[in-house]
Amino acid sequence: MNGASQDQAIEMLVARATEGLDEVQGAELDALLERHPELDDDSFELAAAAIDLAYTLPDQKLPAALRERVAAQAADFFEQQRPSSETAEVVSFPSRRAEGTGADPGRWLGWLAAAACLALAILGWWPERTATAPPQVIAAPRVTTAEQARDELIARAGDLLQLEWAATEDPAARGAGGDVVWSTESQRGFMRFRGLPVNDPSLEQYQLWIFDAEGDERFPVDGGVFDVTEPGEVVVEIDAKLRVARPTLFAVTIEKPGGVVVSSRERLPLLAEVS
Amino acid sequence: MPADLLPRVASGEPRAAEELMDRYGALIWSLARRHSRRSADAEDAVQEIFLALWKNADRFDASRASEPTFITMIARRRLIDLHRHKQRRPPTEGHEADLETLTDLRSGDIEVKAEAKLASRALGTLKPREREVVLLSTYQGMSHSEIANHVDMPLGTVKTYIRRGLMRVREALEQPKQAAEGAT
Repeated sequence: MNGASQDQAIEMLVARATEGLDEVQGAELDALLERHPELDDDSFELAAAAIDLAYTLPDQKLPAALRERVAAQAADFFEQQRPSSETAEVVSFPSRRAEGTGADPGRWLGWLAAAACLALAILGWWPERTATAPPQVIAAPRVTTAEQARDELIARAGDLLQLEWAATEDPAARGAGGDVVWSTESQRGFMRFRGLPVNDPSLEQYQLWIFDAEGDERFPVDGGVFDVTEPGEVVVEIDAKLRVARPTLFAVTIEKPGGVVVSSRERLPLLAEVS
Repeated sequence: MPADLLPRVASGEPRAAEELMDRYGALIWSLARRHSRRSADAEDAVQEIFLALWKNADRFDASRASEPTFITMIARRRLIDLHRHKQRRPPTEGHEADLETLTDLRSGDIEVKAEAKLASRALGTLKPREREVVLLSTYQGMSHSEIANHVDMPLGTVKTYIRRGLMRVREALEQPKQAAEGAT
């Protein structure tokens, strides 16, 4: 039995290195690798890469316009990574097992119905953009870097989605709210929270899931794992592991450290649905 | 031999990112063009690959692979994901290689690292038909079922050949590391 599952794991590692795996297969491989930690899950991909590299002749430089775009993207990325003294950290663990893998189908089926059964209370308390309610004083230091990037995205994106978080009955949702912005064209987005409880990363972390109308609703896209390190307003950049074509729902769950491939959705404090 | 750039990228040094584009831009552009249907797709892929490199620079471990091989692995991951998302395979038209005459090449821009040579040598120990199947998979980016149709071979045989080829290359890449560990 052990040999058979190890053999199956190797077969799937080879498939992943050459033609990729769908979400179901990815989850299956992750389960197999947990049973066979002795298998080096990068070595087949490195072998395939070595073959590709051996036969590739880089005969053309990057086109100038493309290089400029890549350079601009790099500048943007490094600007976001600059350390700040601010409070909330974006902690993303793009673990290989979390990349593009999906869920055990049975566990996600009906998850939307289950979430709908929780009492959703749209707080709509975000006052900053109303004419009559001046912005609240932020209790905690603002994350300037992520917030500036968020503001820039809002200013520039022609296809911006902006949704308010709806709280569920999860204890973490009590008093929590905020919004999420997303641009499909740039594949960038930011979550803004207020009142989301500080988490101990050694015990649990928050994780974002993005549901794509053009994907299988059983297998949402992993939007990244993150922490809230101090109370107050926090802005967190979305780190989608796969391209999202048409988001329909954003969901924040609470997971074990490092996040998960399959969420049990036992802790699901916030949702933002595209109407 | 030029120093690796990814550790400097991981430390947040913007200048290192510029140097990375200069050193590996042509390689990534070549990979993207070969694995993409249209030039526009290749350009999108290049941007996504570089973004993946900025994000994964801290995962580079020089004891496991050379920088070009690691970068090629990251590029392939993005290209495979993009192709699966688009649910179509890249054509070979315009970039079709005559596998009969495909030989390992030395780039004018970067030095083909020892492990690329080891990979090529390992493939050379395979039977011609096996080698063809492995290259159709890794170099041409064809799916296993596409290869089966293309070479008129059972799918199971295709999978066996690819697995054998990758395992042989994997073993070839491991041997120098094991020898080095034994010497210490």
